[in-house]
Amino acid sequence: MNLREWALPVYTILTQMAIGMLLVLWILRSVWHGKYKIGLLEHVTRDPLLIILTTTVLGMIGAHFHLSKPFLSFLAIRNFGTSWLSREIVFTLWFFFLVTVLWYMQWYRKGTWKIKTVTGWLAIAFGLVTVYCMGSIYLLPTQAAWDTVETIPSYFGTMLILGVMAVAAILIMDLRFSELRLGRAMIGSRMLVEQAVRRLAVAALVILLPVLFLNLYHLHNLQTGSALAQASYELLMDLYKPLLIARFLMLFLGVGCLVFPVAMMKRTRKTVQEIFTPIYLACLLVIIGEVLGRFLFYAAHIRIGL
Amino acid sequence: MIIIHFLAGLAFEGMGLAAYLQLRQGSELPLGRHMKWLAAFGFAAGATSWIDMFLVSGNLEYVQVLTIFRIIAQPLTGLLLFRFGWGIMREIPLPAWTIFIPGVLIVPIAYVVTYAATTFITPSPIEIPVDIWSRYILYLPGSIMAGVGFIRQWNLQRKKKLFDVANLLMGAGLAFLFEAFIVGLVVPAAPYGPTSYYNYDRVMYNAFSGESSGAAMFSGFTTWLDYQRILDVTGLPIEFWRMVSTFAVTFFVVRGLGVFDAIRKRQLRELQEDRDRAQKEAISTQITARQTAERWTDVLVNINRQIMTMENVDGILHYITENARRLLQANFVGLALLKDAPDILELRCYSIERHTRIVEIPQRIQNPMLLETLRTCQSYCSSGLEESGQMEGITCDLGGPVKGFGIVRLELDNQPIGVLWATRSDDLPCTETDMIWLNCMADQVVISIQHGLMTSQLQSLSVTEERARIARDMHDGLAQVLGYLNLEVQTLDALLKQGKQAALSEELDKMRESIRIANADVRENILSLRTTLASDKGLVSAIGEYLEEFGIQTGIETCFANKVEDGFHLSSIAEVQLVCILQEALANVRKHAHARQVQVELSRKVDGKGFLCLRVIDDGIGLTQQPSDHSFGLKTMTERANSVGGMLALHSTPGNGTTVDCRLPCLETEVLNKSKPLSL
Repeated sequence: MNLREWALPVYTILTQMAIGMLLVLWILRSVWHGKYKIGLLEHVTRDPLLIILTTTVLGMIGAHFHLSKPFLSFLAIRNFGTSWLSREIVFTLWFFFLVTVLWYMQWYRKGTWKIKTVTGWLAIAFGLVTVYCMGSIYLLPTQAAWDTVETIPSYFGTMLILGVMAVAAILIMDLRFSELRLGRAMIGSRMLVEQAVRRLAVAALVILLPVLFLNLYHLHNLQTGSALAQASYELLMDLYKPLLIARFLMLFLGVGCLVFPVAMMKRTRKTVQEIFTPIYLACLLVIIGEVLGRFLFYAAHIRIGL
Repeated sequence: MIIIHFLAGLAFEGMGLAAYLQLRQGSELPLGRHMKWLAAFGFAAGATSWIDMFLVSGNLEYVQVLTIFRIIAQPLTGLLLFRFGWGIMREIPLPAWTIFIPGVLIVPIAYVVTYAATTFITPSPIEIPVDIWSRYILYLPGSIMAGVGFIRQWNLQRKKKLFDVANLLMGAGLAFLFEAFIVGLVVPAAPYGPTSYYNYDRVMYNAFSGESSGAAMFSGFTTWLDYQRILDVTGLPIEFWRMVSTFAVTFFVVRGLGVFDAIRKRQLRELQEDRDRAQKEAISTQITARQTAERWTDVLVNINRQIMTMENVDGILHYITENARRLLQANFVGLALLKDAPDILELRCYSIERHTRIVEIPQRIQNPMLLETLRTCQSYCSSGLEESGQMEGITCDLGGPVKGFGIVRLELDNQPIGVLWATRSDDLPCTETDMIWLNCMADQVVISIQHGLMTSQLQSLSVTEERARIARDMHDGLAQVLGYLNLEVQTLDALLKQGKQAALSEELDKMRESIRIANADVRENILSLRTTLASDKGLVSAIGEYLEEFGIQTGIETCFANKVEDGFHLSSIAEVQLVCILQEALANVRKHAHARQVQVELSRKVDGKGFLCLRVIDDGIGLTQQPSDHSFGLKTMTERANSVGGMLALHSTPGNGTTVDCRLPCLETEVLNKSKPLSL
């Protein structure tokens, strides 16, 4: 992959992370509703929404660097009926639009709780469809390494694991920022974030298992598949073996860096803000692991014909 | 090249050693916490340079081993620099928004790390990506952070006015930024981006149009990012510039470590200044306290003098309230005494800024705090938490608004007789010291009242005593003369009936003489009474007038000699006793001495302490016999002199007259000086 081709992982990873973050945040928001005051929930979800929007925008900008003629990218939507790429672009735009509306309502305190809830879920729905489209693009019969049943689920897995890790880091970062800026956090926000981080650690551990399973299953399928698939398998096990090992290592280490400090919080008597560094590191490692995974995904393909 | 690597290594090792020595010296400064990382970086960087020195020496025997060491040492050095830069940059708290910087950078970092990881599987030797990525990922951010950290320290020390050290820290900051460029950005050639863009490919690619725009020309910043270009442009290899950068960093950092000494000295100087300031404040406080105590002592001495000289009680109370207000810096001081019933408290005297008055028309006090203090036997000092209702009427509508106050109960023989209180309108709190002084003043009030009562009793006693003396004189003198005249009248009647003319005439002469004597006695008594009671004229003039009158009445020549030139001061009781002694002495002269002349002298003797001497000298017959213990007049004179601390002596020889010598003590000069009105 040359530098230009890196635009693809930038787009896919960032967009999946943004969708995953919104999904995780909205699930937490629904869980918190009724337990905490709405004002507190609005406050806690305010800054993360800005980060989700920024991530989406960065993903979209990154995607343009992959195109031969970025200024004509809008023409891609003409093939909505036949092309998964067109569908992906359309649904990404819808997702972006709804996230922007959501951010606007949250940031400028417009709209009711219900409207925001509905808008959020609608954005998530479009986001999920976007991820599905993203995965479907690669279901090409000519690409043995891509055209598998694991491709779409692994995209959803990436979306979930990145969403969980990023939301954990963002919530703590925002809490620290509030405390530094205001001298204290909003009443209840520390408890809320602590509970959220505990649940996210459990979720990360749970999501890690299917993600690992999918990766291993994918390798197994390549090994036992067609000659082309086996060639891809050989490529992964030969040239890219260090990266493959690093990918799994990063994933394990990342999840471990989240789960272990959270599990030790009571024993070490540390607050949730004090474990920000390992959680940040966890998020970084998982992102690196996922980017490596996506790199390997693109690098391992061997095409038949043109 | 060997020398360059050697010198660079030497410079780094020197910096590491300097930081280590500073670390050993210990410092409480927050900056000191990062010295261990700086020391470690210096040692590791020096070791890396010296490995390079051996590698370029061409000794191929240990090339592989050295290469492995270098592969380990270079990222390790970068990691230590990164850690040092991270620590020193955060040493001074960063703005709150910087919390989001790691969040913003997380995705770029992840991509860079991933991209770096992928370059390790390219065909180029592993030491190349290790070199490149340890520079990009560790040296570059580490140097930038260290540079920013030193520049922030520069700003901090500049604010503390440590300009010389601050400039060195700024130099260190700039040197690290130069290091960031020369060590972190200029990397060896490699077949992958970003180095490939200015090393191999050199093809500009328009990402937006999708077209190639031909071979890239070296221009701008990228000109300096290639080893070869650096050599082409400057004529010197990158190693030389790295050595320059190392020297600059080492020089400024080592010199900048002087910040520890400078701050230590400054702390010592500040401690010294604090101590001096505290000493000055203590001395100033002591002087103020002493001056305050002296002022209070002056006032108390003055009050006691007034009490001792039996001045008017109202005058003393006036003085006490006025000075209490002045010394307590109060806006109102009041003195109230109980009247008739135990709960009727009436204002007796008050002092405000404009004046001090003795209250003539009774004004009843109804403030609950004052009445409560009167009932309980405890003084009350305001806490500032009193409700406004509790302070209502505390200044009897004479003072201004009240913010603090102190109340003291007056007690005579353990019985309450009134209260003394002071109020303040400013924010100055009522302290324990204020209450002590207020209690002192209350004691003075009680003492003056007690003395007033005693003086009154003494005066009554004196009147009774004087009446008894007059009665005794009348009984001994006039009554006996009148009784004698009554007998003489009966004798005259008998002689007249018998017709004895000569005897009748003789008896009439006797009667005339008796009447003359009685008349003289009565006149003398009248003179004595008048002189004693008219003490307001002054002692000397009273004595002069008395002697003149005495001479006219008795026909004895009188002479008064006042030898006291600079005046004298007797207590008022002593003055009264002196006049009485003089009267008794002159009465004796008239009755017994048969003198033609009497001389009275007033003089002053200084014998340890001052005495006023009264001497009465007559030229009469003198004492024909020694006076007995039962001599009533002499005994009275001696008692009068002794009662005021004086003494009396009698000198006489028959035919040569008699001298009465009396000495009475004068008041102390110091007391007199202190009793002068204070210049407030």
